[in-house]
Amino acid sequence: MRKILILAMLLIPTAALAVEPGTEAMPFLRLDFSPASLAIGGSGPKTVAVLPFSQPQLVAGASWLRFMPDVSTVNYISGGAAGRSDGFGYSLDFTRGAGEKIYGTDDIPTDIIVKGGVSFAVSEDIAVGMNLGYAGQTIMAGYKTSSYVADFFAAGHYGGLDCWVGLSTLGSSIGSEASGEFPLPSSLNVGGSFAAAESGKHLLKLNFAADYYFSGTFSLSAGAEYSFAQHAFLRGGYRYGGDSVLPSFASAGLGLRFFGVELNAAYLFASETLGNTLAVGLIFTM
Amino acid sequence: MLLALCGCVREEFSKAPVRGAEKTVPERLRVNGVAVIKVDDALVEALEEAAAKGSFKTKSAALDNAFDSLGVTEWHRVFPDAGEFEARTREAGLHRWYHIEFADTITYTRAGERLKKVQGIRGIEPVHRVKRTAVDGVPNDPHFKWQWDVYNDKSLDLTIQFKNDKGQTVNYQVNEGADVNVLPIWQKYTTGSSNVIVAVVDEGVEINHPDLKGVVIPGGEKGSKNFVTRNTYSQYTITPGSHGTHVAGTIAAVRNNGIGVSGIAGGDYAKGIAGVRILSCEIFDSEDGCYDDGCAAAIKWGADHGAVISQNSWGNNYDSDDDGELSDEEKEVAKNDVITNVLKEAIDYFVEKAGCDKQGNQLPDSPMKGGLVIFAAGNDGIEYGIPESYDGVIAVGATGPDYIYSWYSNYGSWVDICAPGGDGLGQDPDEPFFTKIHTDNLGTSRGNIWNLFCTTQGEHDDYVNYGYMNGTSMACPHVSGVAALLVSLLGRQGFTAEELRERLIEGADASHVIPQRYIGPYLDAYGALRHGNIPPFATKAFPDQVFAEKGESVMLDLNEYFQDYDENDTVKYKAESSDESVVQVDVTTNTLTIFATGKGMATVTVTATDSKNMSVSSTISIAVIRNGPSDDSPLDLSGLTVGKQPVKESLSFATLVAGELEVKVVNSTGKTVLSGKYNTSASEPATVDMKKLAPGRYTVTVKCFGKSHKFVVAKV
Repeated sequence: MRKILILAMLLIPTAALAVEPGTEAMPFLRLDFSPASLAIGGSGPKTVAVLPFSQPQLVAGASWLRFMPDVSTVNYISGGAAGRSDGFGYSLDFTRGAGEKIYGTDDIPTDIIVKGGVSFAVSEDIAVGMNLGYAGQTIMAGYKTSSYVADFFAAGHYGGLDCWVGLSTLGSSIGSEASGEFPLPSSLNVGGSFAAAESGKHLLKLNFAADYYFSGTFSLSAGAEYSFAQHAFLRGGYRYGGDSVLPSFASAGLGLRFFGVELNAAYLFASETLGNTLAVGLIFTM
Repeated sequence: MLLALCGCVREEFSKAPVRGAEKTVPERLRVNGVAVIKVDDALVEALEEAAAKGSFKTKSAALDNAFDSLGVTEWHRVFPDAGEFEARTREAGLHRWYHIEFADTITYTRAGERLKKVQGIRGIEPVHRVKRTAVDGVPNDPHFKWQWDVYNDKSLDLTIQFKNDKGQTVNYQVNEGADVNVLPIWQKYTTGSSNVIVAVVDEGVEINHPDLKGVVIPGGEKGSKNFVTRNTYSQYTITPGSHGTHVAGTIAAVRNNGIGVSGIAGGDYAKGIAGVRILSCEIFDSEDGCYDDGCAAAIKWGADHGAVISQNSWGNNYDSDDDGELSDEEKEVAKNDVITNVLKEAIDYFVEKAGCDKQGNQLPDSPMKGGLVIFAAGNDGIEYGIPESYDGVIAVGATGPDYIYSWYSNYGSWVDICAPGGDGLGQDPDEPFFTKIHTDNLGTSRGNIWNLFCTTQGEHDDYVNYGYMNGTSMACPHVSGVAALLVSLLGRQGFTAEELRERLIEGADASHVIPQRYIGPYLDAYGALRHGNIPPFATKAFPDQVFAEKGESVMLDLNEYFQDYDENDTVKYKAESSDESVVQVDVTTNTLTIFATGKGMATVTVTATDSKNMSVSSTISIAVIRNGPSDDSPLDLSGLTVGKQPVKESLSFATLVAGELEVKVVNSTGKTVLSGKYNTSASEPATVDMKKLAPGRYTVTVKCFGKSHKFVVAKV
């Protein structure tokens, strides 16, 4: 734990470089690649710290995100696995995105994120966790940037409420040839999820998340998930992006789960730039 | 101080056409230990190969043996590798010149005898020490009213007092209004243009002088250069001096900025007009100076770095014993001096190649084809002087405020023109001659008002930044300044250095010439401008014309776009359409009417011709979008050119015709990080500043002429 705090202290100063809100480097680090979370405005938990409170099972999944097709399409493919065992949680994720060609070249810009996370319950109700990873982008041939990234969270579980607080997307700054150093879009993140209503096979869960970015702006996300018999899911949400790197959008989605296989989809609308974004994913529970 | 070590050239060296000069030089003037040699192709190859290896020894045994026997300690090219101009440097043969330094116990004569035996050495020359051509001056307070040389409205009391034979004090009234007559040009035409560069071959110019801000091109591979040092690391570090700064200020001190003095071509600060720029080619510092081969390299540097005027207030030093005057023997030496071939070739190079590309064509952004090399006539009061008497230069004599020959100025038929150089006499009322003293508001004596007040470097004779100086050194930059002012106005494709030279000399005021001390006619800036015809000028570019539909028309007043500076001259206009199915034109007196006749793009060329049949043309880009309201296939003006990737600081957009662009920049997660409207055209691209954006990809949407374009760009 002490080592985790020391690492966090080392990373925070680089995140605190002064830039205009919304101009931080590698903004794709703030995208939600989970269709289920994206469908509720991106308000799902982004931390491994909540895993010790989940069912003791191993899940693996893959998803495809067709992002921002109205502006310039980026296709993201993600895969990962997560599980819980005796109060410990763990996860491993990989994402790769490819955008449209850079003007005047045949170069396709790409993004890559690799993250691993561990967490453990420090008591029946409280757990802590961290994600560590690597993020890189190839802007065009001969021009690449990369950074090590980390998240540090604490999570609590009180009855039907799960909540979390932590530092998200900490990491080393990115140098520019002409404009100096740019920090990652780091933030203080707070969020929660609770069962608002439950009747027989009907369950309504509400989610919220808020971020205060170190560049001086904030965002809010909220969403609801209705499920029937844990087989069918209907989701909706909204993100207020403010001046942050990821703008506002509304979202909706569906999910089906049978025989340990869950199919989720999300669709974004009511956004100047993110409309028609679509995400589809499969999760296998073992 | 030793001056001219000359003559004694081997074989094919031609006599430079120096007016009134002989070829013999007294033995006593030959500098021991330094010479320049000119070598053939084989030795060039040997020397260059050795230089490339960093070796002192060459593959020529004969040359190495000669160097060994002379104790040669240094050799290098007089004219260093000129980079992009190396080809024309070689074409001019300047790469053949090498500076050598050998044991100073060996006389030049003995060294010459030894070097003559080496096959491949085509010639040997001694070098001259050179000196500044200023007479001592006393510094004083900055103010234009003291610059009688630039503008003399007769309000300045320039009376001299002297004592007659009976010891009585007599006043010599001077009320001639002598100046270089620049005011009419300032008032009507121009105050200078920053696309004109004057190379000041002199002491370094003070780049941080408050009156020279933005005027002096900083030191660098493409800028000012120090020729005194041979140190690679300090060759672009300029050591400023008062002489060089005074000279530069006369040419280009910022005008109308509320401080100090006014340069002749210093622009108009209050109106935001930048004046001519100065390229400082340093050949003197406070302790040392170049030999004339170094000065030659400095002159050539100007031609290769944008200058079209070379200002030279220096010359060979004949005052061997440094006693401040020339003995009969020293005068005889001066009489027999000749210009070295290395210097002559550098001057010829400047005259021929300044303002030109490697093929000898005028550069598109150069105001003049060829260059003018202007030299001070010298301050020894004699009929001779090298290099100023060389035919290839303009030699400038000095006068006082009474238009009369200054006591120190060299003279003779070789002096081309004279200008104010100051003629200050004693400053002590008890001396036989006493000139009025410039006294500041505190009652402090600042200097002799018959001398010239201008910018200096740091503290000059106890006064900061400004001071008095006199000499042909000070007269010379008046000619350079007026030349730069004329180029600022007349400069264009086809304007030549020969025409400029003719205007300066033939347009000068010959009414003050004194045959006994001939220093040429008096510099007259306005006279030079009026000498010969002034062609009409395109004063501003036509805006592109975009017509929404066929059938529309526009009328333009052509007098807003052209002007003829000749008094009482008239201009006739003619216009021609490149495609009459798109536009047709009609000119009535000064009005051009353009009719849109069909969808498409075309150009209209407008030509203004004066009564002397001199003309200038300007082009208008035309676009007609639709044939009519029902035309649902409008002309695509999407010829949008996007700047090269990746973007480092800014992204540029150009369009075929002028228009307004609406630009939006979105980051990789959809956040709009920049948006705005920008004006653009083919010649003036819009520039979108992207410095505040992090490295990454951005989607840029550009709306222009009703159409939207999208690009993914890379910012690094």
